[in-house]
Amino acid sequence: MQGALRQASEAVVVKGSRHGLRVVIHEDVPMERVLEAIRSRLLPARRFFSGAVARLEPGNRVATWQQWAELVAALRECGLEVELPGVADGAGVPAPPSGPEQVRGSRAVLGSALLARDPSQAGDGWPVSGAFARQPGARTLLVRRTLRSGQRVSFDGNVVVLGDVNPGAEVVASGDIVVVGALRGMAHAGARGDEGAVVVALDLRPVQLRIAHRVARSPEGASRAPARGPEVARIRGEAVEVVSYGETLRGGTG
Amino acid sequence: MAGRAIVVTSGKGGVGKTTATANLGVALAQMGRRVAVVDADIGLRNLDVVLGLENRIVYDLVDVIEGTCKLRAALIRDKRVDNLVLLPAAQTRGKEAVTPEQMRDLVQQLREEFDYVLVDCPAGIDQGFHSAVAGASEALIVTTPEVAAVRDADRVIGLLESKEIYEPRLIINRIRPHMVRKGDMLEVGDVLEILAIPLIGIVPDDEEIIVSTNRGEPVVLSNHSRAGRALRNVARRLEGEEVPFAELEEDGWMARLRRLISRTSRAASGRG
Repeated sequence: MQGALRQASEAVVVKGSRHGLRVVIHEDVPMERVLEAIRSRLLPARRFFSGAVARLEPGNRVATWQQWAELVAALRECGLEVELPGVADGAGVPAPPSGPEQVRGSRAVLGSALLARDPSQAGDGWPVSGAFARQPGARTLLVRRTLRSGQRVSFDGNVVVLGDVNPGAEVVASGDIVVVGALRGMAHAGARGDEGAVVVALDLRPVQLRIAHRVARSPEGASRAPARGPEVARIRGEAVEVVSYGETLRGGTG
Repeated sequence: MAGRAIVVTSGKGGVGKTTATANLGVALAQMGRRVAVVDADIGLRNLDVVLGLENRIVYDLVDVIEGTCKLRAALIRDKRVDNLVLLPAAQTRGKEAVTPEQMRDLVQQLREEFDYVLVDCPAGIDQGFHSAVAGASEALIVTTPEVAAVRDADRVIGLLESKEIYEPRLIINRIRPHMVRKGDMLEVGDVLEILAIPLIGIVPDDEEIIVSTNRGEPVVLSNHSRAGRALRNVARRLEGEEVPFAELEEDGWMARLRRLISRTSRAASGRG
């Protein structure tokens, strides 16, 4: 009994240090208990914490993505903004898992949990395609026009183009590239070597497409094929594959 | 009120800029407008040839800029239509003979006296292009339904945006309806999908253009040419008239026959 109480009180500990607050989660306490402890011990101190940035230390615990999302949401309720070391730069964050399997609180998992504001909406998969949630905190450049031949956008982060990317135009991003329009030029996602980067376009028919160090050409003579709807290009195995956007929603990114 | 300064440009060479400039100039002048056409293709002048005015050139654009003569002295009156003058390019000088600032001043002067100043831009996107577009506040993009021409047009539209010439209008030149139907040529819709600017003219491929260009007789002066009719329509649209795009409709007895057959067969199936 004594042990159980001790456990509950130590399920979650907030420590102050020179580098700011750290939230340490005890590995052996079940997630429900952790959530309970957060609500009972941290919520009353909400005004004290309000707006504070805390680093979350999840230990080696495994949980479903849904539970991780609840954990992050509970900390948010207590006024704590969760900071994840290394997530902001986004480099090398793997594609996050989905579904009911138990995963560790890796940067990718917590990062995506951070992005899902309301865990009840998240279901057991992804709120949106993993494509969009991979690099929370990564900077995103919004280009609100069509890129014409000879024009080039290059950005350290994600790039969203509201318009077309015409033949002869280039978009280069260290993260993902989203084209809300037709991609007919060249796009290079994950240009610093991130193989998890994706390229999404409403009409994906690039002259050439690159993800990390891989180069894909459009099939010869297919330029006049009718539009197939939104598609996602990503690396699978050794190759760049293109699937319909709807498929990534249904199947997750696993 | 100052007139409109419109640059006719394309990026790619040989798509019909000069022919379009000459014919639009003649068509607008025929409609009663005072028009100056300016050949900005320094070193490769040919707007004078297309207009049949080559033998009247005494001074040229570079002479005006260098102060050798007054602007008025260099303007050549057209021999057929009133209200049309040509400012020819220098043939023995290079593109570096004119700076964008000088061109802007020159076009500004012309705008004081004319309703339209049409500037025939050289091919390419180097200094000649930058000078030619310097004085313009509007642009007409000429392209042909070919992938290379469309790509260059796209490049030029982007460059014009950076010079704050927005919403240029598009002339698609040398359309061959039978090739489009067979799928061997880009369609008007394909071109518009990529370039995404307003269309102002569709000019069918027409052998009479070659004949008229060589003779120095602008094709808009002919009532028989389909290209001439299409270019007259462009002039009317520049004037703000709503002219339906019927350029691709064929004429001649074959087309009439085909229309007749399709109409009777439609009527027959309607009755059945």
